[in-house]
Amino acid sequence: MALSACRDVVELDVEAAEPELVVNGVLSNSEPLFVKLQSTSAYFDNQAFQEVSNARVSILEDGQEILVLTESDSLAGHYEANFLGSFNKQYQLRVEINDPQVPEKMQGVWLSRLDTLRPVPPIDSIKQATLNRSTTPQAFFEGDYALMYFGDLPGKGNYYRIKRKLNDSLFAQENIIINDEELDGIYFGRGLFPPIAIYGPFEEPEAGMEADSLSVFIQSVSADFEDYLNVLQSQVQTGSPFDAPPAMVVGNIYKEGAENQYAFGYFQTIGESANGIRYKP
Amino acid sequence: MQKALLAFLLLCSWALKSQDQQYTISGYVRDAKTGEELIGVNVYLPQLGKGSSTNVYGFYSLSLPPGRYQVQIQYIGYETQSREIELSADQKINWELKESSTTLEEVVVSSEKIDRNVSSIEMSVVQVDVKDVKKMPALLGEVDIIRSLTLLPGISTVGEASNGFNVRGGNTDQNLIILDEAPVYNSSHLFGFFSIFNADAVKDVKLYKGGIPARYGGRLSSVVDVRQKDGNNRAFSGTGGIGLLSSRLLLEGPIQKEKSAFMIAGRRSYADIFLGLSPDETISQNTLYFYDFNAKLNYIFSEKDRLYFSGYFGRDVFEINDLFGFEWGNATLTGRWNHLYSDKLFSNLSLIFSDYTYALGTPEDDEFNFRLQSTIQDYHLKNQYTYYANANSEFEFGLEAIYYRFKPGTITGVVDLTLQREYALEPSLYFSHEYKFSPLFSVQYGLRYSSFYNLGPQSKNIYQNQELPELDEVVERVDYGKGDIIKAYNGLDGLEPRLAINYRLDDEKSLKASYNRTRQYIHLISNTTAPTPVDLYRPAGMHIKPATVNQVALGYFQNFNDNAYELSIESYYKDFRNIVDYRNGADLIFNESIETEITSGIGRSYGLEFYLRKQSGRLTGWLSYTLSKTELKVESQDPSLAINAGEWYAANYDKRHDISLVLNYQISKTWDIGMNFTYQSGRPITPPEGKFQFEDFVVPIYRNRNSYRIPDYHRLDLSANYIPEKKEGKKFYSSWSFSLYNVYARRNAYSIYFEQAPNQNGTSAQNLNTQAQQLSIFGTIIPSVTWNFNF
Repeated sequence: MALSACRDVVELDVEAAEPELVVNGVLSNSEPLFVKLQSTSAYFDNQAFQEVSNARVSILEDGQEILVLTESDSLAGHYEANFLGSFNKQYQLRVEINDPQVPEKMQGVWLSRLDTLRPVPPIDSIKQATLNRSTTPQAFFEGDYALMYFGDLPGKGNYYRIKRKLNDSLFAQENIIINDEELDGIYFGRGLFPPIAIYGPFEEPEAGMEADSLSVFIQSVSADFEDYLNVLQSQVQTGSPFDAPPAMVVGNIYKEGAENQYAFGYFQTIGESANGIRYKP
Repeated sequence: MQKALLAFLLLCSWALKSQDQQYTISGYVRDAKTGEELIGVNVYLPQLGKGSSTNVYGFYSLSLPPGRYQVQIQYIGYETQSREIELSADQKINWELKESSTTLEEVVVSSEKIDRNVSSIEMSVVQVDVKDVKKMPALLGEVDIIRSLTLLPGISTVGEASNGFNVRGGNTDQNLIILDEAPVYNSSHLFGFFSIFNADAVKDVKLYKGGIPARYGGRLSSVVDVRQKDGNNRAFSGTGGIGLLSSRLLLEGPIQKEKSAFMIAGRRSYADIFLGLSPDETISQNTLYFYDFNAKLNYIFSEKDRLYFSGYFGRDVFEINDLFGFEWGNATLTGRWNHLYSDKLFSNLSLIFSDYTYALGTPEDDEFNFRLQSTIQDYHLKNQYTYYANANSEFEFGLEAIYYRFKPGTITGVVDLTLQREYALEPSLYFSHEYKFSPLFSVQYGLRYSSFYNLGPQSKNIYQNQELPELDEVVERVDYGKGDIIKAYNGLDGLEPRLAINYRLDDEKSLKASYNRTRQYIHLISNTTAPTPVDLYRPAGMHIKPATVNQVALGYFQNFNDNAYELSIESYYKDFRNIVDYRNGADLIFNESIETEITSGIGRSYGLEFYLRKQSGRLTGWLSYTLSKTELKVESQDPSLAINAGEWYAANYDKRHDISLVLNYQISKTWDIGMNFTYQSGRPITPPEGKFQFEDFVVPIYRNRNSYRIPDYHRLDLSANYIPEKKEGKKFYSSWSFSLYNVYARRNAYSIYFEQAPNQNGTSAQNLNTQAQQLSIFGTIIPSVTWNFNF
C-alpha cells in the first residue's frame, strides 16, 4: 500500500479573505530591536508578502513610551531601533497605522500584550565529544557531537527556546523548547544530568575547507509564547486525518480598546544568551 | 410518574394474564453439521401468524394454549424445517438445520419465506452474513467484516485508512463493539486498513444503529455484537487460507462429542517479510505486521446448563529502523454460564475482562531505552434474564457492573514516570418488555438506568473556574483515598428509556418507530479527524461530563416477491449533548491535567436511509443510499475557545450522500462473481482562507471549520470465487478468491494537506511558497488472490 499511495499538487477554489495586519518583532537584551509589518495574503498566492510602510511603531516600557522605531530605507515594512531591553522590565509594542493606502481593517492603533524580559542563564560552554547510541540517548549515529553545558535558573516556570546556527545559517523551522517543570534548577553537565548533545555528528570538512562552526542561543520566553509556538507547529502542516484540527494561530497583538480584534504574528520579548564552537576534526 | 407506573403494571399484568392454561415448547436450534447453535432463527406458527426467534445462544421458547400446531423453522442459508406437534404438555424440541447446498439448481429454487424485515420489532439493525462477506471483493484478499458494514446505510468511515467507523453521525468512540460480550476498544489492524475480526472465527455480526435494546448501554451511537463460533462438537475440522497479506488457520472439534467443543484460530500478516526485501533502506529497515488469536471452549453440562470460555488477543507491531517502535492491541476474556431456570426463563451470567494497550519506545536492549505504555482495562459482571411469558410477551431484565482501570501513561527505562491511574465503576440495571398486541401491532418498551462513579485513589486539581479549567488557575489539590468517590453521576439523568413500535400494514409492509436515549461515560481522547492507535479512553469525572444522545427513528419496511426482496426506508434524528472537543493546540499525550485541554459541545444528526436487498436466487446483494447531515457546535465562556465563533459546523465525518451497490452472481455450480460500487460525498475539510509569515514559517489562517469538501469518493471492486464441487468421501477441499480493488484506478482523495512547498535543490533557506497536496491511498488497481481450504 505504501507503494500505491500517491500525492498530487492541487489548487482549491477557496475565496480569499481581505488582507489583515501581521506584526512580528523581537525585543531582547542582546540584539537590536526590530519589528516587521506585513499583510496576510491568499493561501495560493505565492507572491512575496506585502509590507506595511509609514506606520508609527513605538515601545512602551512599564507603560510609558520610551522610543519610536524608524522604518528602514532599504527594507520596506522593517522598523528598527538600536535598543536593548533590560531584564525584568515590562515592555509593550505600539503600532499606529493611519495610511489611507492601507486597507481599512488594518488601520488604527495595535498593541502587544504586556510582557516581561526574562533573565536567561548563560551557556557556560560548548564542548566537542565523540558519542554513540550506547553512551548518549540522542546520539543515534556515532560521531563527534557538540555538548551544551548550562543550568536552569531557580524557580519553576522557565521556558527556554533553543536556536542554532551552522556557519551563520539558522536551522530552518526549529521549535525546540525546554520547559523546567520537571527540571527546576538542574545543571546539564553535572552529576546525574549529562550535557545536552545539541548538534551532531559534525560532517568532516572537505579538503582545504574550513570545518563547520556552530552557534547556539538560549532564549528565555513566556509560557504564552511557548503555547503560541505549539499551536503554530501543529498548524503549519494540516490535512491528514491524523493531524490536529485546523485552528487559528493568534498571537499577542490586539487592537487598542478591542481585545477580540487581533493582528497575526507575535512580538517577542526575550532574554538571550549565546555560545559557539568550531568543529575540530 | 404514578400514572405511568400504574399503566406499566397494568401492561405487565395483562401480558402475564394470558399465560393461563398454556404449554411451552422450547429448545435449541443447531447447525446439523457442526452442532453450532444458530442465532436469530425464526420459529414460526403459520396458523397463528405468531412466532419467536432464537436468542444469541440459539435458545427459543414459545408458550401456547393446548392444541395441534405446525411449527416452521426458517433461517437464511438453511433448509426450512416444518413439523406438526401436539401440544398437551411442555415440550423440549431441539432442531437441527441443514445448510442449503450451494449447487446452482438448489439456489435457484430455494426461496425462503423469511419476513423478519417486516415482522420483527427491530429497526435500524443490520446483520451481515459472514458467508456473504467472504464472497465480496476484498482489499488484498482480507475478508473484512467492518469494511462490509460500511457498505450498509448509515455507516461510514472517514477514509480508507482510518480506525473505526461512524454510525448515524456518531464519532468512532460512540460504537460499542463487543466480541463475545467483551468490549473491543480498537477494531482495526494496520492503522485502519483491516478489521481485527478473523471472519473464519465469527459466527454472527449484528449492528444496532438505533432502537438499541435496553440490555445494551455505555455508548451513544451503535452496538456491534460479534459472536465467535462455539466450535464444532461433532467432528474435527479446519479452515484456513493463504493470501497476499496474511495467512490464517482455524481448528475446531469436539472435546467430548455433543458435549464440549473447542475453537482456536490465528492470523498473521507478513508485509514485514516483503518490506525486508526492498532495496530501499527506508523501507527495508521497517517492520509492520499484525497477528491475532481467537479461542473458545464450551461445555454442555445438561439441557439446563452450559459454560463458555472465549478469548481474543491481537497485536499490531510497527518498528522504524530498529530505533523506535509502536505496538498496540486488544485482549479479551469472557466466561459465560447459560442456565435455564425453567422452559420460560433463560439466564446468562458473564464475567468479562477486556484490555487495550499501546506502547511506544526504543528497543529494550538499547542502552537508553524507554517505553511509554497506556492501558484501559475493564472487568464486567453481567447477569441477564429472558422470560418468555407467552407467544405474545417476552421480558428481558438484568444488571451489569463495569469496573474500569485507566492507566494513561507509564514511562519505564532510563527514566521512570507514571501518570496517575484512574478508576471508575459503571453499574446499570435494565428491563424491557416486548408485547404483541395483535399480529399487526407490537411494542417493545424498556428502561435502562446507568450510573457512574469516578473513584480514588487520585489527587485532583481544583480550579478557580471548574467549568473552564486553566492550568495556571489551580487553587487547590485534593487527595482522594482508595475507593473514595471523586464524582458520582447517579441522578435521574442516568435513565435511558427505550421504545420500539411495529405496526404491520399487511403481510408485506410495516411501519416502525423507535426512540432511545443512550449515555456514555468514557471518552476517547483524540485530537485528530480519525483516531490513532495511540489514543486512549478517559472517564467522566469531576471535569469531564458524560455524553448523552436522544434518537428518534421512523421507518417503512416492505418485502416483495415472496420475501425475496427486502426494502426499508428509515429516517432518524439524533441530538448529542456533552460531546468532547479540544482546545487549540491541545497536548494530549502523557498529560495528567487533560481537563485543561478539552472543551465540550453539542451535536445533531439527521438523515434518510434507503436499503433494498435481494437475498435469494442467482443474483443477490443490496443497494443502499444514505442522505444525512451531521453538525457540531462548541460554545465557550472564553470566546477564543469557541469553534467557528460558536456556530454550527459540519462534523469531520459528515458525508451528504453515501451510495453502495453490492452484487453477487452465481454463474455456475463452481463460479460466482461479485462487485461493490461505492460513492460518497467528499468529507469536510477546513481550507485556509489566507496565510501569514512568522519567522520562516508560513502559517495558514483557518477561520471556518470544515467549510470545504474534498472531491467525492467512488470506487468499483470486482471479485470471482471458484469453489470446486465437493467430492464424495473427500474431506479436504479448497477454493480460490480473486479480487480487484479500485478497478478503474481512481485516485480518490484521502486527505488534502496544506503545507510549505519543499525547498528547491541547492537552497537551504525555507521555501515560503505554499501549496495543497492531495493524498490518495490507492492510486492504482489492487489485485489479489487468496487460496482457502477446509478439512
